[in-house]
Amino acid sequence: MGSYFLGIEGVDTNSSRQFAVPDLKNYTSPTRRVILIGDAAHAIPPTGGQGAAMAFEDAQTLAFALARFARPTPPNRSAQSHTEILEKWQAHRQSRVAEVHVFTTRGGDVRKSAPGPVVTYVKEWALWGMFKWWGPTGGLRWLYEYKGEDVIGALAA
Amino acid sequence: MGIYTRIAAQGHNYEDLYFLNGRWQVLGQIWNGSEREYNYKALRLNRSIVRGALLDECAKRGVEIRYGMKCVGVESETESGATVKFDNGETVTADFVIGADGIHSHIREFVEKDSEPIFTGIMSIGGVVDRSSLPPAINDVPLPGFVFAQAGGFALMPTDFKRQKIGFFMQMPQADRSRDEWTKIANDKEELSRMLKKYCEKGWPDLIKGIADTAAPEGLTNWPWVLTFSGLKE
Repeated sequence: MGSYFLGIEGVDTNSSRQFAVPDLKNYTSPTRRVILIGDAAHAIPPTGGQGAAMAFEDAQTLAFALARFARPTPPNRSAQSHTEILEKWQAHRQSRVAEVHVFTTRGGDVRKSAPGPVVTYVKEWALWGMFKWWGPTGGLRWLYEYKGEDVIGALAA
Repeated sequence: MGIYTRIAAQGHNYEDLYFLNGRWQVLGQIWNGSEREYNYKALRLNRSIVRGALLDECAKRGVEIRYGMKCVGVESETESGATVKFDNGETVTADFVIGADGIHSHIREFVEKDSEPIFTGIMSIGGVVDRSSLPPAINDVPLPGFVFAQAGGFALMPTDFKRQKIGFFMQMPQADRSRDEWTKIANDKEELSRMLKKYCEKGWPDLIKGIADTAAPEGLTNWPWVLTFSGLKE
């Protein structure tokens, strides 16, 4: 599917960075005592209307992660350190945010101006065809079916 | 936590998001939310309502919040905690420091040095208009809707429970500028209004042109689109 940007000025368009999904390598510091969530971790353009949703998902999944090592460990389990748990939280969220970034940047191009009425007309038909193909989910089931509880499995793995 | 039920009564609950052309024809629609498919409708509302509800809940649970302090960054961390510094010189050490301080985070610098938000070259301008101030033709437009015309895109999205307040926004290419210049343009409501009117000058249905012409400048806000990267400075 590729993940192209919305014409970022100043970025060398020949470099491979143009096709990298924008994101931080880490949402957490080396000791995992400092944690970023929301736009501090992953600024997202408003195209998909997902910025606030991602922030809430970060907060809820982080709460699950912090609760995990704050509670006493069951006798038949080995204790997980906070670093282990937060590394898994980070990996889980980075992969979720990467998917949403791809979706977000894909939608932006269609909102740019067209060079003339013929292109506009063609664009309209292309859009119409696309929506007909997708049906009412818009191919977005994966976006809306995510739950904060999804992190719990990732933390236990 | 029960917060959702409380705030849902104060915002616009809906399922379908419509995509329209400049002649108000429906090109398609998708579920922005769905009670049947996803257990929840979509909810659009003013963020101050959400913030207020969360702060009420914090107060109920005895979560201490201190206002009037500006965090300037993380000073240090150890295996057992981290220390943050405030602009009044105060420092606080805690088991964890969670930076939820937005696009221009002061905490991010400690976690990922050399990561500044990069401007994408696109900026949105938006506001809210009362349905009653618009021509009756608005009642024939399926909302919320994204309108695609030759000039680009324009969104119309009700933000209140009774669908009487209609939020709108568009996007346009913009040159990058310094942080101070961005602050300046954010506060220059007359300039935002001029930019919005210019964008809607040609190629838009009368209803949208009317919104651009009559929307109160003081209610307009802008949003420069930025992305965060690791280590782009080389």
